[in-house]
Amino acid sequence: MSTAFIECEHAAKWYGQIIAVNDVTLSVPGGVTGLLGPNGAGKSTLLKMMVGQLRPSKGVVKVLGSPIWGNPQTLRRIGYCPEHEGTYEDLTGLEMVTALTELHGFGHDDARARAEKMFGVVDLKDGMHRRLGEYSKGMRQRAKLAQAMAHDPEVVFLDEPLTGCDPLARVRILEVIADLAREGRCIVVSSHVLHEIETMTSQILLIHKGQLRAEGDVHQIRALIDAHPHKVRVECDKPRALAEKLVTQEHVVAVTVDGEAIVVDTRTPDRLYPVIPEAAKSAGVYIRALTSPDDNMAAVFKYLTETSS
Amino acid sequence: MIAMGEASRIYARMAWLRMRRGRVVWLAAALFALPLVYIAGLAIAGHWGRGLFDDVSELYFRFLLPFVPALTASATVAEEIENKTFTFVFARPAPRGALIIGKLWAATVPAIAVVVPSLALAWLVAQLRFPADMADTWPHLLRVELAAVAGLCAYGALATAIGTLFSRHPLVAVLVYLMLIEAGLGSSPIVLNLITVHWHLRNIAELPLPDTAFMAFSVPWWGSAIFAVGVTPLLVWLTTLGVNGAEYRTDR
Repeated sequence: MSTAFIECEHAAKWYGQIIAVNDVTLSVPGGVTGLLGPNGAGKSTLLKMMVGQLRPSKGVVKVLGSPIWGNPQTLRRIGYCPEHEGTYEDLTGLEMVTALTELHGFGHDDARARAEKMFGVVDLKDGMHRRLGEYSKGMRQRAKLAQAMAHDPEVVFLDEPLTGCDPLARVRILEVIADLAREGRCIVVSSHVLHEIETMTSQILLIHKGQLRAEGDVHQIRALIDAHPHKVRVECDKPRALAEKLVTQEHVVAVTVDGEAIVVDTRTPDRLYPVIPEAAKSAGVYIRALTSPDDNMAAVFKYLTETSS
Repeated sequence: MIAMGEASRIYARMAWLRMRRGRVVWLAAALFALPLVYIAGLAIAGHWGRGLFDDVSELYFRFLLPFVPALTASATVAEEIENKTFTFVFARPAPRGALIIGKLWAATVPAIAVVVPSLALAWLVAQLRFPADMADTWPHLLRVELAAVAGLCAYGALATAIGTLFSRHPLVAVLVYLMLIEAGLGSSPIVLNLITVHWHLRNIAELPLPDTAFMAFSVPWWGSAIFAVGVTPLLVWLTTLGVNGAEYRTDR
């Protein structure tokens, strides 16, 4: 029996003339695997085929040894955290996660206990009785993570789980993902930000224009990316104060103030990221969001595409 | 896979919780309170008996029964698609049809719970001056009640089916259908009015039917009852078939 949790065999998905995923063959072992690619690369489409929400136009997508499309037995064993923000705004976080867990066959009380436990795991117990419509983006991401895990799945799919999260939420989500991997599960995390994936795993699948461009160790990609300037966008309440603190740091090439945010250019992002919270703390600045714009990732993919051709 | 009945119950509870906290349920309740005001007005104006009850029934069958389910059931599947929440529920080992049945249940059962006593109250008020006629007129009340229950189910299923097909603007699509087909064709003097729920409900409830000028058919009331009751599972089944094989995208 194969040790792979997920297998794609010449999987393709097209919508009319548009090819979203093109002849992808891959296998995913246990632990955390990063599905990396720029926006529009086909990551979400591939992920939706892996969770049985899209039927492959060609080829097969197997999860835990069985084709996933139209297969409720396998759906019972997977968890999915979608990328979008849409939730049941009129329900509380606890009500939504309880109901979704009940749909896995758990009784109401059991499902509620599991949901409460998961809200504890994602550090959202204080907010679980609030309506989802009142949640911040980071709280929504954590609630979505809770619904993906409450039924104790063997395989968890997380589509851009860190998008829009504040630094605290990011840290908590990263810890949860690391815990899931330690428990021997298979976790597939999609992201268009290399640094995000690097903090979770060194095992990556690189997708570009619907095709699998590379798979393996993230350090090889890191070597490529270091040759390019890296931009980090920090949204905060006092951008000028933070810019003053950061501009003196040795890892910073340039700092630009852009409205209520600053954009930091660096060639060593892995060294820069730990410096930002320290600088914010000493300047008394509140950070709302930390993102890496796509441009840099697009440049790496352009480089990869050029070298492969 | 979790059983259809159990999954439907979970979806129904979710839908009911959300409806209760939204505005639609209050709007629907206000609309259903309208006949009580209407009947009070007619009684004060001196209308009593079967005439009064039929006037109130007209308000139900022409307006409330088709349009309230349009408000509460048209977005059953459509809102899941437009808000992308289907990604949560379709990743579960539950039959997709349960989503339709559960939400339809949540929209229809409370409406039935309001309409049935409301019609009975209207009948009681109408008969207040003629208590001796009650024994003769209660079979008529039963037929009106049957037509109302079948109508709420059928219009709910119709709204769900049309709303699923036109998920961008479900309410508009359902209202257009109701205006053109149910209100327009159902009241027109041509034999095609037989395909409308509206015509059959009136036939069951002993309300005046439109004069059909060409190829008139006479349908017994129980024939209309079979049509009105049977159309609901048929529409639910067709909607489920459509949703079962469907792939919904989130990138539009």
